Amino acid sequence: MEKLLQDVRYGLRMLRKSPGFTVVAIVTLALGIGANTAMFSVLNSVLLHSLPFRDPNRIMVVWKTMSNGQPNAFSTPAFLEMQQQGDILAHLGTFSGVSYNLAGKDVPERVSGGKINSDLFPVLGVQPILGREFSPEEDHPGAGGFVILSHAMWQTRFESSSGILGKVVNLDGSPYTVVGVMPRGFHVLSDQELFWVPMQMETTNAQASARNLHWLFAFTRLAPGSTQKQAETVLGAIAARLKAQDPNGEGGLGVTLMPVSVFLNGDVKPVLLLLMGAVAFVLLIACSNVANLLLARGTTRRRELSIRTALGAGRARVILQLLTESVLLSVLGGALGLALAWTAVKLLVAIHPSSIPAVDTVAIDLSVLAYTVLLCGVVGILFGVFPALEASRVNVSETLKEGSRGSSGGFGKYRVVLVVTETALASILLIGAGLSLKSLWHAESIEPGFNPTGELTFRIASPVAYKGERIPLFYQQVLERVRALPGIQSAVLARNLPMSGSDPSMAISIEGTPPPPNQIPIVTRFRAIGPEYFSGLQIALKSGREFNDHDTAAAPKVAVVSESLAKLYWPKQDAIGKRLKPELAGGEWYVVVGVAADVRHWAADVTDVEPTAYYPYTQVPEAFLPQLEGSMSIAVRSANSAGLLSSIRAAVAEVDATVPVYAVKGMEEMVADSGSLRRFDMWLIGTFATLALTLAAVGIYGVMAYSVSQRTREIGIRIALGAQRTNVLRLIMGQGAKLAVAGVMVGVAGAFGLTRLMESLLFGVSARDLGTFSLVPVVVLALILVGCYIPAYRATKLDPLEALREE
Amino acid sequence: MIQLRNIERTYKTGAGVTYVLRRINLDIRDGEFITVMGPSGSGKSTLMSILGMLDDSWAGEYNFLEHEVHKLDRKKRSELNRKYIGFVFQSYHLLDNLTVYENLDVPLSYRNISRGQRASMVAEILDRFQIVGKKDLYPSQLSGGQQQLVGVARAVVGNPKLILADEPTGNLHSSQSKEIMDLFKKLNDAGTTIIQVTHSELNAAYGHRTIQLFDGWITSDPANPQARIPAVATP
Repeated sequence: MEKLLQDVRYGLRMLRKSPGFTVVAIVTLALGIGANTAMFSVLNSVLLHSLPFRDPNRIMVVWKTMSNGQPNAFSTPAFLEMQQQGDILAHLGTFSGVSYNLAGKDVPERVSGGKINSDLFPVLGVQPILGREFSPEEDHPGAGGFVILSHAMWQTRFESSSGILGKVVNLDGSPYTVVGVMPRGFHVLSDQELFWVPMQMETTNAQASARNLHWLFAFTRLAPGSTQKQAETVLGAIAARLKAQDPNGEGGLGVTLMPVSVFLNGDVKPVLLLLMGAVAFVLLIACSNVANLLLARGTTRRRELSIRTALGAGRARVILQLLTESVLLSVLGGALGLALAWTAVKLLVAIHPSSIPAVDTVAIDLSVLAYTVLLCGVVGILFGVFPALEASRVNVSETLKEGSRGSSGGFGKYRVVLVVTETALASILLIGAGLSLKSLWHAESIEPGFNPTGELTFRIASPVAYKGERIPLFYQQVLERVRALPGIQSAVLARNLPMSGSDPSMAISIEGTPPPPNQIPIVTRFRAIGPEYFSGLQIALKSGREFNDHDTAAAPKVAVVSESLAKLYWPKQDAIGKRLKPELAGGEWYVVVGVAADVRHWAADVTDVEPTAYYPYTQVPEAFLPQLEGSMSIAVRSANSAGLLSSIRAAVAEVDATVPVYAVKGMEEMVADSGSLRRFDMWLIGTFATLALTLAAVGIYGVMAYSVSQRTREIGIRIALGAQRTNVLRLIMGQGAKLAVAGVMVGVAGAFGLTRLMESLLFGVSARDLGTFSLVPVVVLALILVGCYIPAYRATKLDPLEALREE
Repeated sequence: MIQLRNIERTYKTGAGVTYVLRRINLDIRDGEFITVMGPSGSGKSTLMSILGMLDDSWAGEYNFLEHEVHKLDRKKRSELNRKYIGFVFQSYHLLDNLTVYENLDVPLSYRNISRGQRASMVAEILDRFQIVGKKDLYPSQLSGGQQQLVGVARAVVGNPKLILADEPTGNLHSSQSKEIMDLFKKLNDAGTTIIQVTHSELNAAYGHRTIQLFDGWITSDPANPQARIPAVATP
């Protein structure tokens, strides 16, 4: 311990004595460690700690396997059937998002929450901080209205009242007794959830009996000691049993499991892991640079180390001393890196895309600090070990011999390996960044299929007074009043607008083509929309007509299909006049009256367009009406949207003053949000690649400058013997170019293997894109040659007499 | 104390092998003060490195005290170096970033000696060499003579049995040289064996015996009248 303290004291003094070296090394390490710490803090908050459940790795989302082999949420009958199978399916927690009007002082507020069963919170392993969970008795229809509040709702709407239990809350006009309050930060699927009410699953109404309405998310917790694979084996046996009982039944298709972390963070995880990989590369390059500096310094310290050896220091002791110094450097770099990370995290949170969950909770906490400390130790040894090994291998008698000339000025094998490695790493990162950039460019240039300019969107929910077939009437009245507002160019209505959320996928039948047995049924998106939807959103109508005010419930049933659906099912035929039927209870034949251009409904950069069938919201089957009751969206286009919202609210209030207007958002903003993760990814990887390339160029500059300083005598002799400046320039640049070319070649080969890991994140560009793979090496080589040029130019300016006198 | 038998040291060069030391046979008794002389490149420094266990690439037999050095590995040789040998260099080779006190502490810190004991050993040597007032100065703040004084003090601080001094006064003027050589004499009188390399006849006179080296051969050793270059000295 005493020796260690002595080494630390001495190390600090050595660093103080060489301020230039120390500052460059600390800043280089700070950039690498800072970038890593910042990215780890995002990873830590988003992937490791974002799930507010106990032991989330044991929680599985249970998916129903569809006849086309795809996983899907459960329909009511499928859920109940699975629950009866026992084993891990006996206690399936279930959830479905819901939003209600919360009665307030004036206009009610629309609040989001979830319908859950009594098994859900035990499965998630979270208990209320006040009150209790739902009891199994409260799962049954007619058991009464009960509600558990989120911490946020309890805090903001009820002033954290300790007497909240037993109070009655009015949701959509019905009384709900508060039985519990959940812990701070708890939510199931979305941090927008403010309450949870019992599912009280109806088994008799149209929605409950519809096998095609997949609306229930199911969760289970693996038994202690059991793995996902073991659980899947059990589920496979259940499916086999059900198949034996009913070969054509759905039960035989079974269910699949997915870790809840994959379900909730599936999109973000690969992006964050990719970025984590990118910062790891930056850190490795930083380590290479500092290792190179230490190698150069080791040469100048050869005398000191020889003296120490002559005075009795063993090799291990010398290595330990040098490693203490390198760890000291990395700790100082880490401290500065933490400060950089703190700033970077603030910046990241400020620019974060909405698609990254829990990013606003990202902070430098204890686990991040522990990671940084560990990183400093590892990094200190990583960049210190080779220089220490090299420096400790001193030839004492040679070095201490008077007039010894020292190093020959060659690169040394470690230095060559380090330079080639950092050039290769920078090339890989830059190729990754190039692919991301190209991908973003492709995504940004994609037409979404509609015109979002000037569109303001909002949601409304039909009030409880409107039931069954009267539900569409409410929306119709609102739409008419909004259309009549001054300055409105168009107003359209849809269950879900593009970019705003999913609509159910549903099997359809095509008239005249009965599906053969065991064939995958035709599945399309079921979108309920209002009149003049296509002209309002400026979606091109390829043929036929769009819906109008005459397409009422009483009128003949009509549908508009997307171009991709028409091509898929009526190739080389006119789809107009053809008939299709949604496979839903009460589903009828709908005549195709129009074919519309494909719309990217999920996001502007989704590769596949989904075959879609549009139906007038006035003509949806009865089983679908509860979906409309939930809420619908309206998009309003106007030249000037300032002040529009208040007149929209007034128009809605004219129909029903208790209906809140909520989820107000510009459609352009929604389109931008949909590509935000890609832009975030591109900007960060671009930043890291630039940092990497700069560090690599600076590193190579350092090595070349060192090499030139060691070759002063040789260069002096060459010039004295008649070498021209161009000869010297070629000599030095050639030396650097050889290393750069080797590094770039290794980098391109590495990128060829590694970029396929980012294949799923790319859009419209191959992971082996020839353009990127050709351009990046040129850029890297050019920049590195600039790094070589400066010391080479200095070498040409050497005064041969002066250079030889130095020796 | 020291017996060298047929010690040879070679360097590989592009053309083949270059001999630096040839068939060195040398006996040094405990308490002797030996001077090694010879022109540049005769192998003096190499001989000192071998004697000081800093060089391992030699052939032959080397017995130091009761140890057969030629049979020992690097670690064991390092232990012998730490325990019994002190070095004095022509260019002092003090560590620039350490104070006088710390320079004296360095060799002790590589031995298994407690901090307290080390402090008292350094204090004793500072006092003995009358450099207490300079203990907090850095080498750059000392004159050449003072630096070499510290160099000798550093060699002595661990109470070595053998001091190897490679041109210890080479960088000093005459009065400083005399001071250092008087110091060596005192140390030798107190029982320390000393081997010095020097070009100065004056300094050589402090020793009991002078050994002459030429082209790697011992050409003159009063204790070994047969020592001479063979008639045909083939490399």
